[in-house]
Amino acid sequence: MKFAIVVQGAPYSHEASLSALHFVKAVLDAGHEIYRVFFYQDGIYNASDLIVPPQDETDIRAEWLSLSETHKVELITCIASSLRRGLLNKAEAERYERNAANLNTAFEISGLGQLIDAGLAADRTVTFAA
Amino acid sequence: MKRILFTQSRPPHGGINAQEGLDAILMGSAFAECAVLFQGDGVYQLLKHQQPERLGTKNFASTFGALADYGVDQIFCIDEDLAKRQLGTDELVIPTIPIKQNTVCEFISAFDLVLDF
Amino acid sequence: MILHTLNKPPRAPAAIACLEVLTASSEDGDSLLLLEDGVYMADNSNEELVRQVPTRIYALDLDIEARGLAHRVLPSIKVISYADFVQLVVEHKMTKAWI
Repeated sequence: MKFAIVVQGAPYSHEASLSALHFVKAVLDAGHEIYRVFFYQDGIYNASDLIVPPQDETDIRAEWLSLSETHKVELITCIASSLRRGLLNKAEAERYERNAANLNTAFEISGLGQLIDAGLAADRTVTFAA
Repeated sequence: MKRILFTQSRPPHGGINAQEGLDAILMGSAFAECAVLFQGDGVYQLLKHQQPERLGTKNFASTFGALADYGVDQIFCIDEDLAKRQLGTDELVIPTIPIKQNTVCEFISAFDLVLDF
Repeated sequence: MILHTLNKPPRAPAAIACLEVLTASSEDGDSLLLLEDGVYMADNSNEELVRQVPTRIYALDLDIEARGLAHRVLPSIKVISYADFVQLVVEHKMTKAWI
């Protein structure tokens, strides 16, 4: 079965990101497919490459990186949610003349259409909200 | 064609959930047949006379009026949610279709997908 | 056949709305999954609240354990793993998050 996952909560601020990580791993362990993880609202903060957690806390950034590398899980952040919260890739940083880009390379910034597409293409959609 | 139900559950202005939920509805309308259920404190999104300009949040309530132009003309509220908040449908910015609380699960399960905001 | 998920404690607006709707309208095959702060509803102090909910209720083990609730879970609530959660999602037509 194909799963679409929606993450609406910021890492560390809220448990939603951890719940989504546990769920995605369990989906893959069960032999199902993750069609896409879409990060919306405060969920986009999961894609910041500048996250530096204390050493004794779960490295949520590394967890997403690992899922992307090991299982090729597609991680997409909403562009409108990202821009208004200060999450930029190189192209957006240049477009808006900001002096830094901070998007984790495991993620891509794209449009809200990717959320709708995921919901329609997947067999099941599960939302992890703040 | 698949049918999507969007649920809007949170009041406006205190958080951006309502506004970003509306953005998702507008996007959804380009792909599929969409309906919206305003539930709980989400019904406050539809209250007339919102003037958030001086506060500094977006007056997105006016955009609800454009939903019909996007083909989203199935807008639902739960009777009991309105009654509990002493809201009449004439106090809302757009016409809504009332449903009873005791039909909500059946109503939701008639859709192919539900996206919650 | 809806899997309802609730991640807020039992007196939060989302939880109240969820319980009202489930009590009034849930159908055979609907289920409620408690996760994150939602698992506080599984605490044995909420027996009366839980009794009025007609659906099967599940609670995620990691969230129960993390909050020190393992010995306080109502017997009517089934504590499940993430693997079970995935299976529940598969078995229900759709998942609705009460937020």
